[in-house]
Amino acid sequence: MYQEIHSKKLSEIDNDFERGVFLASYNSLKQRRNRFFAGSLLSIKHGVRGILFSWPLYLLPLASLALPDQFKILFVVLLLPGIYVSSIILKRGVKEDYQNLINERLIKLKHLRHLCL
Amino acid sequence: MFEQRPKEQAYAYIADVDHPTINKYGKNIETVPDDSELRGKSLNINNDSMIGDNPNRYKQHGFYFSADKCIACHACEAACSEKNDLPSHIAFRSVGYVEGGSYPSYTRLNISMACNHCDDPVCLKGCPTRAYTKFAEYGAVLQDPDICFGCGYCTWVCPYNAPQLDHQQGHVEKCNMCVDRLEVGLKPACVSACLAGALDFGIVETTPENRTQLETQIPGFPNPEITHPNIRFQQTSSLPKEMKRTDTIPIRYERDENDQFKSKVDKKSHQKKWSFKKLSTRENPLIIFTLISQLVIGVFLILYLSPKFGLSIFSANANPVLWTLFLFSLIGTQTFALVLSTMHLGKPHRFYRAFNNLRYSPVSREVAGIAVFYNFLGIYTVLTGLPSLFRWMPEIITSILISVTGWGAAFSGVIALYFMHSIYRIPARPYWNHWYVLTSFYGNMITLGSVLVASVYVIYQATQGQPFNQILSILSLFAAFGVMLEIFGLYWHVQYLKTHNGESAASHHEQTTTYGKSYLLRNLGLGISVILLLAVSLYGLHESFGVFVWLVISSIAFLTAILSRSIFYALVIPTTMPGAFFWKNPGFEEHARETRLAERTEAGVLTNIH
Repeated sequence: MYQEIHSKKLSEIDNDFERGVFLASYNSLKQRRNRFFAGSLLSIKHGVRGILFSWPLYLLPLASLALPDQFKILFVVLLLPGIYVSSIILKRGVKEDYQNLINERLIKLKHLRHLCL
Repeated sequence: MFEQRPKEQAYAYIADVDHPTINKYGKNIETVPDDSELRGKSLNINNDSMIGDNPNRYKQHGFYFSADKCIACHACEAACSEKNDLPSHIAFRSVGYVEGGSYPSYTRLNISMACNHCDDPVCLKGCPTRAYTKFAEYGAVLQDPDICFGCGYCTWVCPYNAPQLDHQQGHVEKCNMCVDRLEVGLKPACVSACLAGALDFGIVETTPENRTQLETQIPGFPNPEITHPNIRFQQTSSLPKEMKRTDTIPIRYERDENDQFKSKVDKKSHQKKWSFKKLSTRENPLIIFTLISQLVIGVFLILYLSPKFGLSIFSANANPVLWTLFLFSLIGTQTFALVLSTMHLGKPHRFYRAFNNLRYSPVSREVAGIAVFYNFLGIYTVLTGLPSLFRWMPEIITSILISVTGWGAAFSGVIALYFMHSIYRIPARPYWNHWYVLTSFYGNMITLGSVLVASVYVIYQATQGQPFNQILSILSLFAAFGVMLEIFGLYWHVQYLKTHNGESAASHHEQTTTYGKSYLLRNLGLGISVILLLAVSLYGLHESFGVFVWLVISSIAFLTAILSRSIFYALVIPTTMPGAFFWKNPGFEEHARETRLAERTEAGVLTNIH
């Protein structure tokens, strides 16, 4: 699935000259921009996935439309920890994918679509 | 390709010998037909696309172990750990022993065991993420830690303790048969390192040099019929009639009239204890997850089905505020349970992989069942709890949607609990492998659901100055039925435990000794609950004192359910291989944690397993 973006990783390069050439390209504006796009894409992907699996959680604020004031706090109590834990889980997912697929790699913009799979 | 050492010894190479067509379980030793597309492909070990030159690539291989020769030097463990770069708390291969007789005719039987790369690998079927593959090459059952999310279900279902859950890394790893060595014709590292020639390796059902036996059983080895393991034993030296384990699992092995060793309970102690501390296990989140899921489904079924059977007091029209409050609370509570079960995983962020093996894994099916229920519940809640949001929709459409999602949630909830029960029907865990799990889960669903709905309605009606006796008499009858269902299952479960194999009887022995007082308290709780609930149903409760009494009864029912589920997780004794005095001994691990010995990495015990 990720074959096309599996370029050589910096840590896999032993040769100093090759490392130098790699780093020059890796630190370029274009590569930094590509990494930013890739990171954003991963965040969106994991965020959408998270919402898809736990969307009923985000319905809780709607309860305030039908309930008296004293119950509203109950749903805030249930909602906030839920969102907090979800964000932790999703952040770990983004971090793992970033480490495996983006970090220390030269990224081509046309290959970013593979991150969505 | 694996780099061979210069001047590699002849004994390190796998013998190329003739073999029968089928193995002892009637399965072809040739793993795939000659014209299979699986042939001629690279195993891509470490992205190496070369194909090995082993002439017996598509034949089931296996380990040969001679108990006559093993001296328990642990060289096999060391070689495996070095080859696979394992931390001290993980071992793909481990040596355990059983002993018997008395001085001077004392006998110790050492057993070196790793994955048996079974014909019917239960780990592969059980894994919800499909991290396991049985490869046509050598018949190796390989696991990919990069796919695994660390639920540990494979460690539950495997009778040989082969998959190792690394709590530090958050994933499972296991013996890979050293397929990289096999590709160049070398035996696995453990076999090559064996000093005494006790371990050997080759195509299954081929008798290695200096061996006469190809047995599928040895004392201490679980029933091979569960998974059809690819290991063959030799054990010719005479053994005493009874062999005991040296770890703290209360199992011994007794020779029957057919000269086969069968596991029996080893009654070390008869003292009844509370052992409350031991009731808290790594599975605590699962206690909460299973109970909450059963509670939520129970509450939903009562709220949804009761009005259809004429109990209009529970309908949305009768009390819109309470109805909405209930449904949104159910969403919040079920989310909490789902989050807990997710955080219980070694790698929670890979949660979505739980759906990967719907075809075989009961874990995947359970997760899918709960997810379907959760989604239907969400839609149903919005449609019925907030009808003002859907006034723009034609009434007929709204009504159809409400009906579909309501029935959908009701059915999927009940089905999800069936799948939840099937997770525990594991032959390698006889304490769980009984239908009482189903009666217990459904019983809890009815009891907890009824008790919670009754509690909320009783408090609400009392604060409004309304009578609550009618609600209470119906719901307490439901709750009593749930408890009786659980008691019925538990009674037959105990009969089963007493009459079945050693691990079942050992669990029952533990239940009545180590956890004896907790077990009695649970039984007392169930008995008291059913009597009180029936009394409430018959005679009713009134006014504020009645509310107080009801809340006491509810608390007894809830606490009993928590205690019962804790016992359920703490008591299971798997049919694992015997451990040693220290290594793979649950008693030593507990001691090492208590004495802080576990802080020293060389002890091989993690300080915190979650």
